[in-house]
Amino acid sequence: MRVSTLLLHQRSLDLMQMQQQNLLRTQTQLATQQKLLTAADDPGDWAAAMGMDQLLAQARRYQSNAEAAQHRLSLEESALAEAQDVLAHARELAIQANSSTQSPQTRAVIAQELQGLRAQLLAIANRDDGQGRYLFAGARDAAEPFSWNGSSASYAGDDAPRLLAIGNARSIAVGDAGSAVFMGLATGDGQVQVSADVANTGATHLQQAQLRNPAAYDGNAFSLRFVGGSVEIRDAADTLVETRSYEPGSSLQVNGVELRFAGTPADGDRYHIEPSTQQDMFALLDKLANIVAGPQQTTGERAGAQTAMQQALSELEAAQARLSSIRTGAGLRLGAAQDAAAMLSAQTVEAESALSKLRDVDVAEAASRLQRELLALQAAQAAHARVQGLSLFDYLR
Amino acid sequence: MADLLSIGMSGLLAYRRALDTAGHNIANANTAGYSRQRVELAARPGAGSGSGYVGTGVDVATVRRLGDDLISARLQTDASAYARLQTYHGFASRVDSLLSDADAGLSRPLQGFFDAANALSQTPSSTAARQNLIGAADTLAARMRETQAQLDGMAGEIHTRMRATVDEVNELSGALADLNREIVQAYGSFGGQPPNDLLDRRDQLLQELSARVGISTSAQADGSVNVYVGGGQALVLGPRSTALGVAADVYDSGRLDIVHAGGARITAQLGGGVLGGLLDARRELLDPARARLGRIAAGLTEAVNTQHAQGFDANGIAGGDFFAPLRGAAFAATANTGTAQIEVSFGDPGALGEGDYELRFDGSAWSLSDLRSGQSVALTGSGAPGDPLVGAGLELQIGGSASAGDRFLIRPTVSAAAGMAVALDDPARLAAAATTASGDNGNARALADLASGGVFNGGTQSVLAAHAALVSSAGARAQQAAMQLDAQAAIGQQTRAQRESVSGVNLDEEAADLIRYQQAYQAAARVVQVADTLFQTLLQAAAR
Repeated sequence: MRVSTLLLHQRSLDLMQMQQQNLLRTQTQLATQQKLLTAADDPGDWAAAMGMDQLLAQARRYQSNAEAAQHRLSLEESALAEAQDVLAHARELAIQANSSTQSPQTRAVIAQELQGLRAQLLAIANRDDGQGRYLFAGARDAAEPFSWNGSSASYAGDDAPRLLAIGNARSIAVGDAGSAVFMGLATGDGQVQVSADVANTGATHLQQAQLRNPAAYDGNAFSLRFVGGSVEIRDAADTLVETRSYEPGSSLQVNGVELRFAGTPADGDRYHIEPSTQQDMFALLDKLANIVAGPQQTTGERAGAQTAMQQALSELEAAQARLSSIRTGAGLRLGAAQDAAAMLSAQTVEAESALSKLRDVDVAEAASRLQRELLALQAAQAAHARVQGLSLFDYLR
Repeated sequence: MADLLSIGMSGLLAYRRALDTAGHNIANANTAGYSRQRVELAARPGAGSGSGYVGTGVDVATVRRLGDDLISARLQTDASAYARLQTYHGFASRVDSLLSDADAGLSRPLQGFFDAANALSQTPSSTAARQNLIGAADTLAARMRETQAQLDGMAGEIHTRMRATVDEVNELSGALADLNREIVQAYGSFGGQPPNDLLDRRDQLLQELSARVGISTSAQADGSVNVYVGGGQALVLGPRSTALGVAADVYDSGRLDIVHAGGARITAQLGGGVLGGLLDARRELLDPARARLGRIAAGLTEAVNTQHAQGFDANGIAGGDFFAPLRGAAFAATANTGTAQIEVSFGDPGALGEGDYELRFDGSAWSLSDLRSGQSVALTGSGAPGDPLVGAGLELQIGGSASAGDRFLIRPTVSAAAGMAVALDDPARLAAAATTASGDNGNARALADLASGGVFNGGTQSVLAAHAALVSSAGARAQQAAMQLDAQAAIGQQTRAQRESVSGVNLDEEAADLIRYQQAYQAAARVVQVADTLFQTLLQAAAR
């Protein structure tokens, strides 16, 4: 093919231009450490990288939620542990106070200590997360949830704990509503409660009371009255329903409720059996303190206190069981949040490495490419200079 | 002897011409569009005599221009294709850079918005978290508007360049008409000898014209060339040229049409050259990119507002608009006889498309059709006040009264992102709760979940996925354009090499020719000298 002078010149300029474009590109890649400078470099990889970015952002959101949940849940868990200690201590004190060696003075001290425990429990229930958000207020966590009105606590929070998303379609409750933790405890065994009549004079006191056969219980109050060697069963209107013989120490089953009394009853001693009512955990401690502080001068008073104590202790046991179950639940969720955070962080690392493969430049490869391109440009420049220096006119003299 | 003298003289004259031509070639070695010329020598016919025909010297038959019409035609096609791709690629890579940019793109503000919604779900009653979400939404809306403004700027630039290019086309076709006249005259003046340099000039102008707009040419017997554009509209006919013009479209929607003399709109028929590249960039790059952006803005606004309205704010009041509701653009055809005006608002984002629509009124019923596919869109509603026409994710409210045959251009999404703004300014009015409890975070969680929740395409495509599709489709167009441009550059280089191979000046060749012609000239001069010597010899013999 015939070659024109202009073409020779133009072509070598074009080639140098192309070399320089490549060089600019490699240089920019090295300077920015990015293989893909815009989507046009590889639309497929770019879209994949964007998807990965979104995945990462979503994972970071979930992770931040999981961390926030961990913070809240570990605070809740430790608060529940402390509340458990308070109840355990209250139990020890109650049992200690129930012993016959106590004097009214020592019992007064123990009662005071129990009131202190109630205040301590209230402080735990009103604890916040360090950012002014109350742990046991449900979603209404901006204000202190519990207040003591002298005989019971009132709750200002709501019943729904807040949820946080820690994964796709996976949410976790970051707390327990105070209403489910501290409120709504049933008295007695959970279904029926037993109390000694204040006029009782005998030394007999309740050892056990439990609704064994709920089908046989109609839900109405009734009472037992001991007369001689027998026991009268009277309905809510104090009408005699039935008389049975009674052997002191033996257990009775009346209307499905199993009852066992210790000691011999005095004639006319009465016990009232009623359906359980609701009380809060603070009122329970208050009740314990009042039982301990109450007068125990006469045999009847002492027996009444013991009956009341038996009931209160079984209520305390139920309260402890509730705290323990809630704490277990919180612990499980804490574990789930930790698992989720660990899994998300592993996912994040993986996604970041995949992203880096898509987007980041291979520095070693780019550096050697730069070297190669520089060499090619130098060669093109040298060739241009040599070729342009050649002309037949140089030889025409 | 007189014959020998005249033979020598003819050689002197011929080689003088040849040397002139070599010099002309050397002088024009770097002239764009110049075709090398060669003197065609022809032996003069011999003078007959009884002893046979005796040669009478040499003549310059013509000065021939070494060119190839086929290569010239290919150069024109190449120039059209290259200029189109170069223009198109310029816009494609600008759109791509704008959308891909990590700092100027939409990825960060979009993620930022969902991050802030999520942070709000952690502390739903915190004023700071509420303020943060409003701030993030503000940033997102501002970036949306900014991106729209950038794209609008490019569309405006396309219009400016369309006007400028049409002016250039008119100038070039005027110059071509003038050249046609000169060339016809020149052919006539010297017995049909070709005016080589004028022909080169015309080829050059044709190339420049075809770099502006795709043309077809037809050579005429008198040496002139006719030039046509688009679907055969004449631009140059012999010594006359027709000007192109620029006019607003039939809806006066701000889009420009190219018109031929007589007002015929030929926009759709034009292709190639800068003008073709501009029209393609408008149709394939800026309109879709803006429509997709607007669709994201409209869908996000609708989805967020719908979710927000389901929640309750810090005072237990149901949430209002989070983003200000967006409006689509509608234009009445300038030929409409009714007074109807259309107000376009957005309904179900799952049904929202990316295209433009034409709304027609036939005197009793309205019909909507997709402008690109031509398919008609089902409409519900009567169009009466309070009962808008609903279709394609749009709600069309009709004001005034339409006459039969009235047409409207509906461009729902093309400029929608320009209006994106946060309507909420009081953090307390942010509905983070799903119930009236102030501390509930249910609605904040639902807002954060919109990041992956389906919004478009019947609820299968999320906002983020729509954004990824916007960016990657712009990237794919830019990549394609770059590859086509590279390919076209290579093709162009080949054609140019072929042209240079035929028509280009090689200085070494000319140097060799100079030597050759110089030697021939010297030899012819020697012939004259010999003729002179012979003549003197004869004179001296006669003098004795």
